[in-house]
Amino acid sequence: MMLDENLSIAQVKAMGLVDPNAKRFLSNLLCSTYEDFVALVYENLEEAALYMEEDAAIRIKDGEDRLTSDLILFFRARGFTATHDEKINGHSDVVIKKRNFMWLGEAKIHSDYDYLFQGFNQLCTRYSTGNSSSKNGGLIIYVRNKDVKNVIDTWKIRLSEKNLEDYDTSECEERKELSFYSVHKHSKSGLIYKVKHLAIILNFEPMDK
Amino acid sequence: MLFEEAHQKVDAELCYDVEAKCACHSILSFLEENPIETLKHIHFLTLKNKINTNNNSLVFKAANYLSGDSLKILKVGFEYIEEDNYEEITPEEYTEIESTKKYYYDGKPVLNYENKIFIYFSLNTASEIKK
Repeated sequence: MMLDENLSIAQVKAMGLVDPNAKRFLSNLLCSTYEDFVALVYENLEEAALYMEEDAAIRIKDGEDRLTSDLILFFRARGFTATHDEKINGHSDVVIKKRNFMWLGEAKIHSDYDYLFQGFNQLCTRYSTGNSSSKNGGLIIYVRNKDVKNVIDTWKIRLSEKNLEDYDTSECEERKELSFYSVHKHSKSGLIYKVKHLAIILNFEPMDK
Repeated sequence: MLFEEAHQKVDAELCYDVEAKCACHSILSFLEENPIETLKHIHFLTLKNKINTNNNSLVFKAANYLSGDSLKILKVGFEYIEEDNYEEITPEEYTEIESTKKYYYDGKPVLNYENKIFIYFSLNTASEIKK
């Protein structure tokens, strides 16, 4: 696209139809509500997952902190305030902020479902307040096993057996079968708290040699 | 923050994206080397020229990072320009325009306002960056 010196909103939007960076620039600029912010966080989280999955081989020996540091860097490169281990009622793994909005994430390397539930509880009962500018959070599950879909399916079943108040689940349209949303009544705020459960495929066991 | 620190932050936070890192360094150098008075109205094309690229996507990536929360060194402004008519629009006002899909100038609705509202950049003096 040939540009005049002045760049109009119409031109940025037109470029945004084909260029994710133009779209991202405008979305970040126009982010003004908590819902806008959460939508941006999830868009970037899904892209971060794809980015990490592209190079699972180099992450084979990484611990949780190292993996999460990569995630944090990804968000910072996209213009967010993002920190790892920031003290928010304890040391939350992932803290993403924009203006007065905040999204917390807990990140776990999957070993067993009790460990995932521990992470879920850390997020929901320790770090988050569940107030109106922090009513969404995430559980990021690094999976080195094969059959990640099975891990997510089983986790969904195990979580539903915990009988959380006002609990329900819904599908994640962008990352179907490797991610889902849960809602339940937050124990602190009494408001509904929505958690995105997102698996990142970090298995690397090639069988060609 | 000193410009030197800003360059270091770029190195650390864009370490996985060499192209974006270089683009941001070029823009930071441009901001550092020019008097503040000349940095109050920077066009997209100016940033593109400073990066020395034909790639608009790269400019958006760099602008997104430099105007984002991490560094906040660039501010994005909006302005309405139509023939002799001109008005500065704050980001909050533009957000309102986006949500209502209406823009009024001098009390009258402006048709096709998206073609008449332009973005520009400026050095964010509130970031207290020092040379």
